[in-house]
Amino acid sequence: MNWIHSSRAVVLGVLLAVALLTAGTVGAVQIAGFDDAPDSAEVGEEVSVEVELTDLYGDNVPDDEWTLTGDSELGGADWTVIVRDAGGDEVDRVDPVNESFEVGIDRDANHVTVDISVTGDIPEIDEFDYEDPEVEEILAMELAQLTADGDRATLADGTYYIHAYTEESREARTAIDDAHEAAEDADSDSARDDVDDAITFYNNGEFESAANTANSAQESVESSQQTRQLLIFGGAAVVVVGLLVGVIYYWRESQKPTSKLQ
Amino acid sequence: MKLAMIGFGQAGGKIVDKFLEYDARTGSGIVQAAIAVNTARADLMGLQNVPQESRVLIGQARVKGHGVGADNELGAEITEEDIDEVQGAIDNVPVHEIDAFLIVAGLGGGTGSGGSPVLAKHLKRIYTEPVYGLGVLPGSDEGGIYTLNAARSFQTFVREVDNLLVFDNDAWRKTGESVEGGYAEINDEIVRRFGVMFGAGEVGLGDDVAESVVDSSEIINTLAGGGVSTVGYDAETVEEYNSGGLLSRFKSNNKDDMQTANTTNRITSLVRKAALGRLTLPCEIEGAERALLVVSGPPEHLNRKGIERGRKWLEEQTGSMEVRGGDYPVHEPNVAAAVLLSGVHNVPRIKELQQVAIEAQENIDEIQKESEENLESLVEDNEDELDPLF
Ligand SMILES: Nc1nc2c(ncn2[C@@H]2O[C@H](COP(=O)(O)OP(=O)(O)O)[C@@H](O)[C@H]2O)c(=O)[nH]1
Ligand SMILES: [Mg+2]
Repeated sequence: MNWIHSSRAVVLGVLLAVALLTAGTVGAVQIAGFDDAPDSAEVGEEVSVEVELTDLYGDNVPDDEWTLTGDSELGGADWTVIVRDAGGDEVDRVDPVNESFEVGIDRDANHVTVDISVTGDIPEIDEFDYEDPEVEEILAMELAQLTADGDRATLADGTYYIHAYTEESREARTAIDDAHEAAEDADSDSARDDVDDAITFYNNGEFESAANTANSAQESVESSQQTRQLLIFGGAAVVVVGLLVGVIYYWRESQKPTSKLQ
Repeated sequence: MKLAMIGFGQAGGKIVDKFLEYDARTGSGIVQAAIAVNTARADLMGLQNVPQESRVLIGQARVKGHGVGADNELGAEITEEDIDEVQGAIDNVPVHEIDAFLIVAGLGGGTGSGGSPVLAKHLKRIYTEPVYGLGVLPGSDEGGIYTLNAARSFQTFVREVDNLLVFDNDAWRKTGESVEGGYAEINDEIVRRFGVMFGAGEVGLGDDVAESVVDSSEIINTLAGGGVSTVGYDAETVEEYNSGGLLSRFKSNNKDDMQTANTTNRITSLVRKAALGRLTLPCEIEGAERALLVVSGPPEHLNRKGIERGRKWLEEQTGSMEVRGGDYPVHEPNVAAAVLLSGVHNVPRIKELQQVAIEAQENIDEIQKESEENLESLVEDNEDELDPLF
């Protein structure tokens, strides 16, 4: 097979894959708005996700009449669902009380777009994973088509997750990020071990220990880098450093009460 | 930048008193004039640094120096009546030498809560200098009336000032500490954060060739446009090495490079910790309209690259196109990042405050109605056979 043949085969393959993909999911419904929703939020915080659905009768929602359903893991999820006609006027509205809603979509009833919003609190998360932040995600909105036999066919791109954190988990994560960077920059194995320990603490939900371990890893890298440099100066320098440290210490002590920053 | 500070009420007076102490101790030169206003004589007497002649007791005719309790409507009324007495103290301020006014008050009490919006309105009418507020929100355990006061004062204060900087006692409360001891630490935190922020525009170190020093106009521009602001802060101790000192003899290029990398990393990490750590008013930083980053420390521990990286990161996090940044050289072995986020919108704490305030208001109305009914049923005879005297 020469080059032209093989590249043509690749193109064909890709086209086929795309065709299969689009046919395989309930997909032509267009969903806009997830871009504006928060990526992450603190546990207990109230968040809202709002989207607009258009192209309600695309190829793969086969019927002119179907049932749209939505789910959310947000605490006390409060949905507002408004169905509009081509002019943007409200034709139908559902105010469900529960975590989910169902609404009939009907071409003959002039249903053209749907505005959906859900507001609720980020629930407690019971599992943390530093390396796999998806574990810390909350399903904020999942939109699906309810098929005749009661199955749910999730709409393509109709699912939105929010990364949940607590103040402590976020602080610990930042500390680990920083320590990880410092350990890699310095190429220090002992600091890497400390970072691993910090991650273990983190994954166990012991955020204070995680942050402390990460911070001390970072500090040890920074100070060991300095020490390594200083050693190059040789034995005599040690005396100088001793002196210097003394001077700095004395200076710092004498300066202490005038600090603007600490 | 040079400020005329007016501490209104007890909390306001104590915080301005602390600013004076910080100024004297560190030589940062931000307090050009300090005034304390109160309806309670005892609170004015408790101050240590505000000059006697700058302590203004108002409302003597109404409350005889005993304060207004937690009645902020009375605080506002008295301030309106006695505004000339406050103005009398401000007349002694060399206003052409200041960059702005800063009115400081606890919003949950009576005097400062009610009086500071009135004073802000007055100052804005008379002067062209910007008038900023520094409002302290009550702890959520302080009770409904404080929350109600704070919610009403907040709303009015934001409207009257050019920008309201907010500090939330609730976010900084430490459990198991005496209230007074707790405030001492909280007030230190307030003064340090806002001190570094405002001090940045006031560099007096002629010998330091700073890379890009923050000046007053950048602070003013960040606060322009109004709304609510919050400050993030983080600091780290460093070893100060003098460029002409002992170590320079052993300097090599390699070492220079490494120091530069360290300096840059330290700054970016401090910026992140400042913005993502506890803010004076906790909120979602995304959506802040403007921001100012001040990186402070010894000149050899500051570099443009770090500040620029931090600034870029803030731009990404806030989504704001208006993020300013600069340095503030100081001579002490600490490096700090202070982040001023101005025009923040997503503040769950304010929504919660308003909700609790509405509930408190309803409770109060109900109790009042009940007690009126009770009094009526006590005083009036059942069959209505008695006639009043007149
Ligand atoms: N941060 C801080 N807050 C205070 C201090 N003293 C009182 N407060 C707060 O201010 C509110 C009371 O206001 P206060 O200034 O005492 O009332 P006023 O004297 O009537 O204006 C309470 O909600 C407290 O949370 C203080 O020293 N520091
Ligand atoms: Mg008081």
